[in-house]
Amino acid sequence: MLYQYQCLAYCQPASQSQTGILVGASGSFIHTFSAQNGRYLSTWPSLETTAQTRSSGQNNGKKSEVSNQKSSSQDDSKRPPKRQKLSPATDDSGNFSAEIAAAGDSDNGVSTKYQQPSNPPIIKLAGTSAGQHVIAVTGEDKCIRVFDLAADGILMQLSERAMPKRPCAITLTPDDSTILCADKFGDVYSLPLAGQAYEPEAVNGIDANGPNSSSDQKQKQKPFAPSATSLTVHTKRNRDVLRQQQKLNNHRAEKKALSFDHKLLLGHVSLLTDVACVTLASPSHKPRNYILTSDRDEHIRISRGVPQAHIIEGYCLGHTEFITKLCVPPVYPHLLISGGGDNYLILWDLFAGRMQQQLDLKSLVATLKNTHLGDGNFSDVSPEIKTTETKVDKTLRVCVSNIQALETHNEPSGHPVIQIIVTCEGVPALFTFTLGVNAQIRFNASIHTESNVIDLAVLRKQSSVVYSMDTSHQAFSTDASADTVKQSSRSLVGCLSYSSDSKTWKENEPLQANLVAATRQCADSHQHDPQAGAAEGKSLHELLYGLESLRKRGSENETDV
Amino acid sequence: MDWSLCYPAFVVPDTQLVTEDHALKPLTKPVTIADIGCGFGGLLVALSPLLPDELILGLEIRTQVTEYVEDRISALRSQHEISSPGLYQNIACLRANTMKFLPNFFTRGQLSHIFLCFPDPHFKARKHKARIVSSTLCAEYAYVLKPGGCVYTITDVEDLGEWMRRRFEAFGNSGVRGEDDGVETREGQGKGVFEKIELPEEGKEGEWVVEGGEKGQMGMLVRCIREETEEGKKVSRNGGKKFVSVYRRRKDPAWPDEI
Repeated sequence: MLYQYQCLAYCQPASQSQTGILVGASGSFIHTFSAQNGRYLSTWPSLETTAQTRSSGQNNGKKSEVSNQKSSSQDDSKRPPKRQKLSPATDDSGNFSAEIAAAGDSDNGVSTKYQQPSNPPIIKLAGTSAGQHVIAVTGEDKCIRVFDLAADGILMQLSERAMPKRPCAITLTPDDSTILCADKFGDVYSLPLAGQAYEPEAVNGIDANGPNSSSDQKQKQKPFAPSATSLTVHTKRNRDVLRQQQKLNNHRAEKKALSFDHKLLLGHVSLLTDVACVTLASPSHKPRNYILTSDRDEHIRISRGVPQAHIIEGYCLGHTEFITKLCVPPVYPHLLISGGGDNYLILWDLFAGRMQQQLDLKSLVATLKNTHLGDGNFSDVSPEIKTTETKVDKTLRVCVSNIQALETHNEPSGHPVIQIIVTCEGVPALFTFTLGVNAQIRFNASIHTESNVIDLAVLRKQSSVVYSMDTSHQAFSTDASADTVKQSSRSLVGCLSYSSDSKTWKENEPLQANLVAATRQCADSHQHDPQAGAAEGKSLHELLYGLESLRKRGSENETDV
Repeated sequence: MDWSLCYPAFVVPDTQLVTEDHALKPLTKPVTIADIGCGFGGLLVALSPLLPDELILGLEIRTQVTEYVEDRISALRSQHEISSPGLYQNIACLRANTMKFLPNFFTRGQLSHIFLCFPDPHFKARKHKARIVSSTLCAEYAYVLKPGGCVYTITDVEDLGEWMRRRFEAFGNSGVRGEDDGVETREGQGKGVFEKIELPEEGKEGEWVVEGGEKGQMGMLVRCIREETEEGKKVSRNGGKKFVSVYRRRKDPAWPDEI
């Protein structure tokens, strides 16, 4: 069963009096917690609905009501009826759907609709800098959902937009007005934050779909003419396609236009892995916005911000594998930290477009792995001493899963110091670094955790980080399951605070204890919920450890530069 | 990227003695002309004597074709070693997927000419993303081209020529457009990044060449891509039509804060 939090985000409301809210996605549910005391606040879709569905096993009448509600809410939000590649039902949920199907018979088929899980798992979460909205991406239906986040942690869905391709990363422009969505196809789209679907009739008039979309339609309606004659010189394959097109004649499926405001900003010919926005000072002393995009083919592109995103300002070239994460630290926005499937963390100077520093991560992971005694226990040898002695396992592959930065204290000189926290896929540890004014990153410590770390969120106000852990796999393994007895006793989350006095990270005990209790309670409340169990086995692995699959295998590798 | 292997005659003399494997030997000048999808290298071979002072690089995705061109170039070099030693030293060919790795070969504004000769038309609508000219790839061509530099396109598929024209003309005009959007530029809609150049009719390039200067060079290059590429010759034999277009890159617009 999936109770792990595959995504975490932190929302800090603008007003100082309000406390921040921690948002976590577990399967297709989003839970909110108070970032101050770790208290559970709310769940989306609301727990009431799920409680009803749970009791509905005995009460058919009530269930049909719920499913009706569900279907009507679907109609309201103009969700496209087609759903792609939804997770196949696995053992546990299989039982349940059989039960539902049986119940559905007596219900005149009303609940057949309900047989689909209401939402696929959430793959990305983001909060606006003003802390009033949460954006969630679901992978299987390519949907971007925007929620209003109330001070009491209740999420209200404002919009739901299905993208043409599966989103891989989202970010917000610095003014919070626009979502940038980078997808698997390599394109970056901009969407207004509070966008609503248009009426289908209105689509033609919308600027974003092109001022000439009507002429475009005419073009599509005109009878098919092959685009080449027999005189055209081309490959056999292309000629075959032409012949087929001639046979098919006018039978061409019309592509559905997206029914909401969106713009294609830029594109790579590669799967995009992360997108970031950064504002830098300019010679005219007015701020300039840039968009940073990273892809599976080792590129980090620096483009101008909207509305000039088509202009490329430069590239950061130096990674030798796919890139997974970009991190622009606060205070020093001209620096960029990137990580991915090679063994290094790279610090870039964006102004100069130059690699500033390369930090070895592989030896850190290897050192930690060597001290690992199994079951998340570690020997007490300080990693600093062991670094030089340990042999680095050649087959060990490191894949950075997250990089977060937190401004903590000032150097004696008055310059701010940034704490960097790095996590790797399938590694039960947080690696901490410091970044100072000299634009150098220094390794601080490896902090091992009970289980593999999945995601990480920085609580700025408390100088803390909250991390979520994978309780169903063994530490250091992405496929070996932990035994079930241990699974339930392991914590889902952990929390560390930075102490500016001792200059170290320490467990934030009260917050951690409350969060662990709250997340366990959430897991228990979903125990009998089929949706929570939807992701298991392969799909669970994909959800928690999807990054390593970006690595290229032999023939695919085209890097010859 | 070790360019000294491609252009041994253009390596900075002082470093020629350096035997260390990893020391990259710098060239006396950077590559300024790229033939993307150079095929069997007909254009490279034709351009070499016409532009002896420029370094010309052919990029080809098929490994065997690349090997053929490499062999062809080294054969030509050794043939002319005694009669005219400089000949064919300024051309080279590399295997590359330029759609993915163009910025790995060239830096910003490095190129003065890009040739896209007889690209794969990818007739299926689903395959349009695989076309060498797309709205989003125009950004990369603009990046490696210097302001005033030109992209030369030639195809025997009229629809593909139109497709490429729409992509280049619309690029930067009103943002980047999706592949299936009807991209039609309108007069007075503002300047895009690329400007289409009116070309002389087929067979009349000579008039431009006589005029000389930049126009003359362009006339010469247009004649080259019409007549010297392998595909171009094939189309002529079959009596097909060739559609040539040249797009000049404008300067980048000012940043919003500079306006």
